[in-house]
Amino acid sequence: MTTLTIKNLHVAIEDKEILKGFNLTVNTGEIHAIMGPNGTGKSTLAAAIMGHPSYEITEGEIWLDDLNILELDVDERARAGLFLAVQYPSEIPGITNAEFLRAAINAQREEQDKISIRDFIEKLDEKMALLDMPEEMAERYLNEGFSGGEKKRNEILQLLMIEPKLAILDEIDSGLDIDALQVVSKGINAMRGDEFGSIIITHYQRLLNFVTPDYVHIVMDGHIVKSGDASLAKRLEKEGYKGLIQELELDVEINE
Amino acid sequence: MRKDHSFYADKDIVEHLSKNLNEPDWFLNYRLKALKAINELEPPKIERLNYSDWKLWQVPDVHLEVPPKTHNQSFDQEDVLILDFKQAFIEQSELFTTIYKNSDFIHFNHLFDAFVMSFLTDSLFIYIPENIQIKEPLELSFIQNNQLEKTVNRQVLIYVGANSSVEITDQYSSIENEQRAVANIQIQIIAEAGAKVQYSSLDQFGENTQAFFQRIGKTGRDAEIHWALGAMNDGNVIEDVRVNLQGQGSASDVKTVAITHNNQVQGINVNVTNIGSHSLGNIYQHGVALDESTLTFNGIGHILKDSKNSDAQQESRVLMLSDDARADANPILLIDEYEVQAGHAASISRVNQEQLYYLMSRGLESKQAEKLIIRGFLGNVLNEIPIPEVRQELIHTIERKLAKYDN
Repeated sequence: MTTLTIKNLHVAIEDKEILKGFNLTVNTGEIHAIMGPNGTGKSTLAAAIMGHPSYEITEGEIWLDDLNILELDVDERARAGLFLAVQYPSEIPGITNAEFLRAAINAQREEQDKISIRDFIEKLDEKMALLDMPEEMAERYLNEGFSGGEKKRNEILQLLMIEPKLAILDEIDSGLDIDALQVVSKGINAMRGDEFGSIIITHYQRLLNFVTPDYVHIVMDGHIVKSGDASLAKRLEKEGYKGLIQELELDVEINE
Repeated sequence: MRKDHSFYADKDIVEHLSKNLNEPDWFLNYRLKALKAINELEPPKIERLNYSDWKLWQVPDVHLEVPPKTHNQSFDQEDVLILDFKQAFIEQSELFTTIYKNSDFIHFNHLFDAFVMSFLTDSLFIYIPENIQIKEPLELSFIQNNQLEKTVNRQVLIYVGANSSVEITDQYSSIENEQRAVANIQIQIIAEAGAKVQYSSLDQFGENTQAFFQRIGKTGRDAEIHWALGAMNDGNVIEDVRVNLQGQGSASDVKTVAITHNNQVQGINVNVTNIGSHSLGNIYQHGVALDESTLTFNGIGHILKDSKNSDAQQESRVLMLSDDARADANPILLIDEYEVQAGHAASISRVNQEQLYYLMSRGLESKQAEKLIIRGFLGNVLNEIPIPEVRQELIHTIERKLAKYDN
């Protein structure tokens, strides 16, 4: 079992503090949903764990088992088993999807253990079929000219190919129609198991109809204000964040 | 150039060169006409690139014994001719004379044209008759041995008859030693009505060879010339491309990749002129500047009056991989007609940090991620090259030039 531990995390961007004492522990085998209104620090959390250069950690710790994540570069974090799927991935012209995926898989492996072309193609075909992706998408340039839905599917394809220990999925459901949402959910569910943990960041409850979380955490004003099981997300859907703010007697303003 | 030097003093050299090639009088007369014009002409103006101190206009030494060149083209198809001018004068006198007199070689607009004509040392004539589709790519290569040839002035005339199609790859390189050498290379492609030409070049002259390449295209009605140019030289080089879209509905796109390193200068100057109506011109150039090098991209799209419904597009981008490199990307659009479409984009930038972060977040080390981004940036031209071996060679050349960047 692998455990991601986030302790008292404070993160600032351009001197503005966004996360203010965030605590969370995620084990492999668990799926945690993080919900909250816009602008409360959900995406900041994702970027800080992965190590985006624009985010400054001012206080706190992040550990992957006994590995101090904050001391590692972005690529080292990825090779340690972390993965971040984002809503708006970069477009990289001139590099095909397949070429990139193979480089990413091999980056995790030792020199004598590189994936063979045959094994790679077999795995790619299988995962693309699972996600209803047409074969030609493997030969298209990485995310270039992809629709919003295609980009998100492609992020999930990378998840399935790279097989990280812990994946953070940052609003991977936004803007997806119901068919696409089901496909993406199928991909996430395919990863589920004792060797895989995930933090699913979402604004809406609807993804959680297809991927049932073990834990749900509500974030406001830069930290978790309430945690519960899957029923918390359902309640939120009914009552909205405003109801929760009243119940917890919080002093926050939100833009839903 | 030194204005105090009169090239006319070198008339005997011109006559000597002409005699060596058994040239008929009409050809010698062009040489002499060019020689007369030479002192009045200026070198071609390349925007934002001053090359006046390059010593390009070196009169060849006729006393050196230069072994005859094998042109290395492996080709065997009926009706297609691949000859140097010396052979052409003998074997295809009438055909060659007609085509040559219709080429741009006989117009001396700049010092360059007149100089190459006067002091021509080297030549190639390719003739493809009308209505044939050539399946096998035609491979040309030219290797300059700097020890033997300090000055090469070369004309290549490629004639593609109506409704024919051909793929040509052209490679230039040099055998280097301490000696400095110069090469002035003029290549003309004439595509008759309905002809389709894919021309790919890989120019990799060494660091002691200064060169001026001029590639001229002329299109008949509905003809197409597609250029994929790899400017991978190690020395100071100008690559000048001039395409005249004369025929109605004709098209040309000029795609260039360039890498500069050390303290070399490369200037890529691409000029596409829409003359016929419904003509389509595209200029697309991507380059990488390393070390203390200078890379200049000029894209000049010119739509002439009466070229109605024509289209001129261009994109020039340079990736800077060093603080000491210099780069220029100048898009120039000149439009003398109303009913047209035109557009341009230009940029000089560093490796995109978001792209780098994204690739690294998938586990790629930063150098590997950077290389992928750079290769991708140059990739759009690479993918245009139809012959896998040439494409592979260009990829190797790029990797070799970027290898130093790893350390």
